[in-house]
Amino acid sequence: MAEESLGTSYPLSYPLSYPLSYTFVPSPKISSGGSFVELIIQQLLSGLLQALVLFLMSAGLMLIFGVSGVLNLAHGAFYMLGAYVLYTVTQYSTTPFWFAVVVSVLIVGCIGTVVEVLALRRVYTGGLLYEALVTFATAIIIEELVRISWGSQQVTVPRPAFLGGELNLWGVILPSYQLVILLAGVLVGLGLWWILYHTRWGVFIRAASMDREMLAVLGVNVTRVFTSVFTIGVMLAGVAGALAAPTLSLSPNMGSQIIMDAFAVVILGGVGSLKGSLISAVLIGEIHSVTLLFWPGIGMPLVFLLMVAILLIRPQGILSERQA
Amino acid sequence: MESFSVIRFRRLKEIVLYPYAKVVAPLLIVLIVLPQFIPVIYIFQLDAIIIAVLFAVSLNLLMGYGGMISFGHAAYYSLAAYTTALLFNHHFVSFPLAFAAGPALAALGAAVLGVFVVRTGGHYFLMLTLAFSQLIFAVIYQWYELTKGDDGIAGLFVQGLLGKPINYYYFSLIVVVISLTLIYGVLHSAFGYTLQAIRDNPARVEALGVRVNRYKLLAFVIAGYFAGVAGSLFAFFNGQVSPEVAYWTQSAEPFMSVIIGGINSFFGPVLGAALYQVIGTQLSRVTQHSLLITGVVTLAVGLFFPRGIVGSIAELHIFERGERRSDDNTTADTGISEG
Repeated sequence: MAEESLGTSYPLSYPLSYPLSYTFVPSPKISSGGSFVELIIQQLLSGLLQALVLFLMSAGLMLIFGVSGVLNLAHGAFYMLGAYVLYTVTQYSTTPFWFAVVVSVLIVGCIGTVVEVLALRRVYTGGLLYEALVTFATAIIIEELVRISWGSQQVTVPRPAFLGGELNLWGVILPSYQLVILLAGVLVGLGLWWILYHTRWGVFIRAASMDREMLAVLGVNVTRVFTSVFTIGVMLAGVAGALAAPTLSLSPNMGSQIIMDAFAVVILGGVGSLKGSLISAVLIGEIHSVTLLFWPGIGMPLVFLLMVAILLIRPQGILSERQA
Repeated sequence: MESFSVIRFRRLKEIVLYPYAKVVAPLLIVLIVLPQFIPVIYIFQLDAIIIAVLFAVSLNLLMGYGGMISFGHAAYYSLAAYTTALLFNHHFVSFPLAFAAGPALAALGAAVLGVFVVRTGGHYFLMLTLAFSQLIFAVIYQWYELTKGDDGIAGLFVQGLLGKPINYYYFSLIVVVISLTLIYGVLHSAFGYTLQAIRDNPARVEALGVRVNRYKLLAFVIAGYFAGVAGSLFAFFNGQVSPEVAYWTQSAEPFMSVIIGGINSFFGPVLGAALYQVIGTQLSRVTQHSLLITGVVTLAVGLFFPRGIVGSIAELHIFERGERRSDDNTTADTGISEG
């Protein structure tokens, strides 16, 4: 613990230096040359990127929660795993970047399946305590395994060469990698929506979230639906981690840090509301990245306050109709 | 109408001659006598164990008796540890005052958070407590001017009598025994029975005219306070504090102890914490990743012996005693009539 840093690249003279390792720090080359407006726009863009990562994560979190009622405390761990596996895949092979992302997401999905089949499946009916126990223990085990396999030091994934450039958009210079990630994330989100609402499988998943027994009576293998839901949810966390990896430095505790923001997105957006979580993900992402300009470190307390406030004022979330 | 007596025990007899006296009294004698004969290194281990026991029991007050599953118990532990350390080391407050201030601030922190979280339940409670502890961790980690960030605060050594490890051990033992007695008393007061009734059926207790959230809040604050006592004890025991004490692995420790020991009893977590510490220290000699193995062990216990060690033993009827049955499980009704 002592030797690792949380990825802050800011001098310690700030009141609170910013620790969150999933924060996208604008590259110095760009931010030093730009005007203030340009800096703001770049920061807004990186906030959007962060929002996308949060949205992908919380979509997975909510998918699992909505169907099986399990709050996956290991979600951050799978996010971290996605980033680390991508690191290794890009390190030891020369596959194109997008292929490396796909491979690492599939690997994360396999690990998720194993976790579900071996442990989580046994506790669906055991109540909150045992669900929490299994996912919490999984998170700890994954984090320790990552420490063993990759060490506690920070590692960085190099940005793919063909995306290393910058894009001049109406006079504002933007790193093209972030734009591409943004696009990829939007595609993943659309794919999820398509699976859920336009395939037979998606019908099963949505039905399982409403009435598990009825679905089983209708002859659907519910156990398999649950396993696939957990796998998809975990893969969404893996996608988030893998896509974000080249923009940040990886450390084993990155998962436990992002989990709070993912919870905040779920609470703010309301459980079961994809639209709500999209809005709240953008809100939280922008809070983090805009406050970074003025007062690094205030973002996290702010998000926490927002979380508490929404629970007091509107416990069902900003959009959701369902009573919390 | 509402009897809100926490410290007023139902019967003094329950404290003085409580059912476990036959086990506890010899154990206490061993804990008092043993350190005279063993090397200092083992005294340190014993000290670590009893501090962990208090930490775990304070969480069990919330989880086992209050039905509130908290994943951020390290928040109060670290609040107290840092308060004590900062006051003692940077502001030169005397030891007793610094020691007392830690748990007080921990209880205050628990009260501030508690006001909001006791309204929620289940998943929301869990998310918010975990988020709060992450927030505390982030503040400790980042606020370099105050907490020295990653460097931590070192050099916490008491001068005089308590400077010797064995004397500090006896001090910890006294504090822990008093705290455990108080927690036991709280749990076997009208308040404690009402709390268990709330855990089992909140709607029914609410219907009886009990203000459920107040009881939960008070339980939350008490649990935070005693976690703080453990944190303050730890600060001086360890000689230094670092952000690690606020990290979520620190919250995992009492949680796993409670699960391993058995959530449905008072002494389960005591046993669980002792076991957890022994396993942890023995493993950490071999590997620095002892958390991995304790994580696997907890997972296995949770999956195959969901009632923990004490619960499983009780199921095997090895300890077929009337006391156990009458102690924790069947008392909820008497609590309602009193509450």
